[in-house]
Amino acid sequence: MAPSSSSEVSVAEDAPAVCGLQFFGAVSASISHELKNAIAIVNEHAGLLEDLAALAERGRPVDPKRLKQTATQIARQVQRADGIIRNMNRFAHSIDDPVKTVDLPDMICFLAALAERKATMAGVVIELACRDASFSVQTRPFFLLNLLWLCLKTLIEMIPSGAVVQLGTDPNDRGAGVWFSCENLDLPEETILNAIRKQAEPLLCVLNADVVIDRVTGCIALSVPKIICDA
Amino acid sequence: MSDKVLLVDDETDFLEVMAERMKAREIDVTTAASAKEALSLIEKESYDAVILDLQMPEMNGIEALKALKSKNPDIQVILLTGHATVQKGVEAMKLGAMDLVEKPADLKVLAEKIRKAHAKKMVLIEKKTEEKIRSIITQKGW
Repeated sequence: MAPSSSSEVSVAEDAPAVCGLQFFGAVSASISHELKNAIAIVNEHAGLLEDLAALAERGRPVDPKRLKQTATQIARQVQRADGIIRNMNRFAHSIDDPVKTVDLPDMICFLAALAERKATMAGVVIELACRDASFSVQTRPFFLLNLLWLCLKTLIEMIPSGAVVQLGTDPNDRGAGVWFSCENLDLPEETILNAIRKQAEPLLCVLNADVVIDRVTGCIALSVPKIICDA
Repeated sequence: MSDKVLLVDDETDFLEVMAERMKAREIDVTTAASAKEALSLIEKESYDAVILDLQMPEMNGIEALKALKSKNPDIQVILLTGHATVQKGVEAMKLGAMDLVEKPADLKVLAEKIRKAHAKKMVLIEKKTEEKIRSIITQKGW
């Protein structure tokens, strides 16, 4: 059988990759904006030091306290930028292994860090309800992160400003569950669930995952297998 | 007379240091950490220029620009953005922004734009005063 050309690849086959690229773009753009803000503050502090040096040249003494304060503020922004770059590096490497055993509570914490800026921009607070115990699933790490991001992003975009989103993860019979909860919903949970399903369908399929409303808790509950079938 | 500026950004560290540097250049600067705060300030005070960050929580720069312009169509707004694109620039200008500056901003360049905003505001005030006088003269028939 002749190898299929790229033009023969169906939309459905392409869909997870398209989702992944959009996810990569969205996270990269958010990271670059955050970095720009840190750089802008460092730039202003550098300018302030120049201003103080110029004043000193003209005979006005510089208060050492002011210099220390500026150094502290620069160090704070450097630390902030370092944290952003660490997350960026971890995110970039999430695509390295197509299938891997991942610590789910750790991934949830990472997801919250990646989504923090998006949540802040929407006036939403993310609260993590992760237990100390770690547990793992064998999955496609990049696509799972993408699916979790889509769930959280959709929720953030559909809830009012000032709302709190709680998220957590627990092991279950199938493998693991990740839940998203928000008390200040203006919309029926089904509307949010449908919006998530619409966007996440290719990812749910590729991860053999499912997303439902937990009738007991009212949370949006995502379920992933302990071991992905075709790994 | 010093230029009167309202600096709006949710990054308080940025606000503090930028305001300090502007004050050292004899710019009369007021700061606001949100678009809502800025909107409330422009109701009480008149500014030569509003320097507005594009990416802010709850109400972003474009929404804030629209709200500022609806309150005061003559207000001179300079937008600050992390990534200035042609598309963003065109959108901002269409909405009435005076200029778009990319972060990190060069204070010399920004100060020059503030001076231009001041001059533009003065021209608008003179024009309005002239129109008022002309209207009074026409009505009174002197």
